[in-house]
Amino acid sequence: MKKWAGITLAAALTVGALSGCGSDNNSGNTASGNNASGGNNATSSKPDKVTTIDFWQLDGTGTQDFYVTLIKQFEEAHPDIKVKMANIPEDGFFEKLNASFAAGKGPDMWGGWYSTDEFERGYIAPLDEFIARDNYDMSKYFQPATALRLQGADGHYYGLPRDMSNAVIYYNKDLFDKYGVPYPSPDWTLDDFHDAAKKLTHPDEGVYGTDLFASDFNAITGNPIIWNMGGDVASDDGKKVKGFVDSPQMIKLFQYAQTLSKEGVNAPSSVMQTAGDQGPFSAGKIGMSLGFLWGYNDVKKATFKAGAVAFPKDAGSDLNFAWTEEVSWYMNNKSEKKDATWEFMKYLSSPEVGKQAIDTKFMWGPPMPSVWEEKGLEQDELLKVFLEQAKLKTKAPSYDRNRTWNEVGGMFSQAYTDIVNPVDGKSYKDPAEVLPKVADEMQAKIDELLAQQ
Amino acid sequence: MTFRIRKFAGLTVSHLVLAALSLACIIPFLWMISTSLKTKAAMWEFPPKWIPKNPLWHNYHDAFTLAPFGTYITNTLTLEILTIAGQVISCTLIAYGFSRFRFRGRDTLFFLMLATMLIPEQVTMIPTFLFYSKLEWIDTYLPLVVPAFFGNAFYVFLMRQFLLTIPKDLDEAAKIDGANEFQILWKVLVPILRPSLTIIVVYTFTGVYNDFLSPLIYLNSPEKFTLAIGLANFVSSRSTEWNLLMAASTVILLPLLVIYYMAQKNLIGGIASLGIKG
Repeated sequence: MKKWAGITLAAALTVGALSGCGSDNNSGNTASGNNASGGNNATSSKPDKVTTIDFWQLDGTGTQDFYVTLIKQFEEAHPDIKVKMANIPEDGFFEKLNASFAAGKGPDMWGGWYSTDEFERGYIAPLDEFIARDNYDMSKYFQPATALRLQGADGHYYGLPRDMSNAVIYYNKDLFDKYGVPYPSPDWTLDDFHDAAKKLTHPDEGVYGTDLFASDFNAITGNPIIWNMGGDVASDDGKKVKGFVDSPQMIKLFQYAQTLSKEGVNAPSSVMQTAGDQGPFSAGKIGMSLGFLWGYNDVKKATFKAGAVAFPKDAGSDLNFAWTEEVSWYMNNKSEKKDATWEFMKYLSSPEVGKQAIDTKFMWGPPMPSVWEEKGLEQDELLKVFLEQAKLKTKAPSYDRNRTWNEVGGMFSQAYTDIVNPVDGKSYKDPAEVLPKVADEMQAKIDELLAQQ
Repeated sequence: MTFRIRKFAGLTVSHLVLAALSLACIIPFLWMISTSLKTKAAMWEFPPKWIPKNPLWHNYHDAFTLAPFGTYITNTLTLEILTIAGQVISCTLIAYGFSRFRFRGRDTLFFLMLATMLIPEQVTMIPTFLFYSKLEWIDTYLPLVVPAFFGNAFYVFLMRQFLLTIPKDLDEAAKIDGANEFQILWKVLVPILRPSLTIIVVYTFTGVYNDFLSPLIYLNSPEKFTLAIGLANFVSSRSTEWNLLMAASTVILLPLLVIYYMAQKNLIGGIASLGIKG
């Protein structure tokens, strides 16, 4: 008896020590489905009866009911397709996505942004054959933004846009009135912005001119200021940052941001957990802030009158770029249900759904100008500004040009913090000194990553 | 007299320090509760108001109707029960083996097991994912529960160390009375092991409760999601409902408080009594 127990325990020990690495006893359930990652036949799958596609999206809880409605409508119109949707938290979405792809089990379709990783690993299906087959008109979307955002380096389309948002300056009209500051005009300069910010700042009342310089995203990578100065964060293909991160324009912009921070007209970090239209701006404490269309509902709900205006430019600049971003749908390159997925993608990017999004508490701003016009959105004082911006020239956001930005973006952010918002009582660093060094470090890392490919 | 004054002063200082520390610990909780009762705009008021003028109790209702939290709670509890059972059974058996039996290679095996603690989870994430996906276990609870039945290096270590402090005389006494190895473990040792078992239960409970990445990666069907995933869905870079997030967090925190409260005695006291007379 004792011997027997000892052997059992020793066995338990061995297995325990290997911490569960050899337990295939449990796979007695019909494991015949050999749907491993072999299937390379792109268009051969014809739905026999009902095709179920897996669809993942990373939107917040408030958007989910709308998706459920859309899927119901789609399934009614397409009885042969079922959509199985999962709402995956944004925090962890890409880890999950890439783990699933590595195992050949990714969803048929997903929505999101920052897709450079997935693109370069070949997980995203090119859509050209579907676009050609259906004679699908890509010019109905905002252009050139959609092409810039969704075409790969090879010129093929890799996704359809769900929505569109530009970056504008939202401003609090009540604060402008209260302190007797004239509203900004579309052709204002960075000096005008500085001036207005100074006049709006009243720390004793908890009011600050702006929170635009809270982070490098709000101040630089998430808006067109640097582009309109004739500079950029990186080359168009995202492979060069030396000569961009340390360009005279970039140094000038950092100096400008530092000045506003030193003067205290940019809200101190103690006031902000979040900047932009999601943060204290909506509480009426910030004069001018970074505004996206995604924050439109919050700004509409605010207790003050809000205005929107294009970004200020450097005096004398004749450049006119807008910053445009699109949340998009992507198809799994290894999906065996590409036809059904394409149908669902087309549906979610259709004018009908765009109109419905406007009618449903303005879930998102449709990616096609025709819907904006049909719905008369330019009548709205704020939306008018977005529409004007959407027709301007634009560039791809820096994080979307090359996946290496994901690796070096942190260095840029750190430099920004050191120069503009030094923490823990550290002193402000000189951009002319810091940026050339950071540019070298970033470039070295990018070169190293590119060499590994 | 001076001694008493000094003692009194010492006590006062230590109490003040403790009070300050507990205040530092409790402020985030109070902040969470306060935010959960505010409108989105009032959250950003500066200086912040601790007690909102019109507390919005319906935030709690909104938070729990916006997402199927009932399902999430059931799922999380199912996972909890299975995982805790797995850890308690496997770790006790393994630790019993390591502490009470002599066999060739025992200590090597033990250190090999401890060495697995050195490997960060991120490193094994993709290989284990591939492994489970070959078993067709994706979108089931199996990858989350089954490993619990194969022990956990840290808990085994904890239990083994604890078992080593229990005199073998107890085992021998039981053996003389005719008990076999399982009876010794179950009838004699497990009752003494209660404090460390409690530690395993509480740690496993909080571990499973807070685990975000594993359920996120292995589960695809929303009806199988856990609380941690449901909570994370409130946060999005496009729009975050902080007030609802805080309302949901407040409620979701309660079970943890209850568990800690119940286990408190065993967690703090425990080890003192060892059931043998001098």
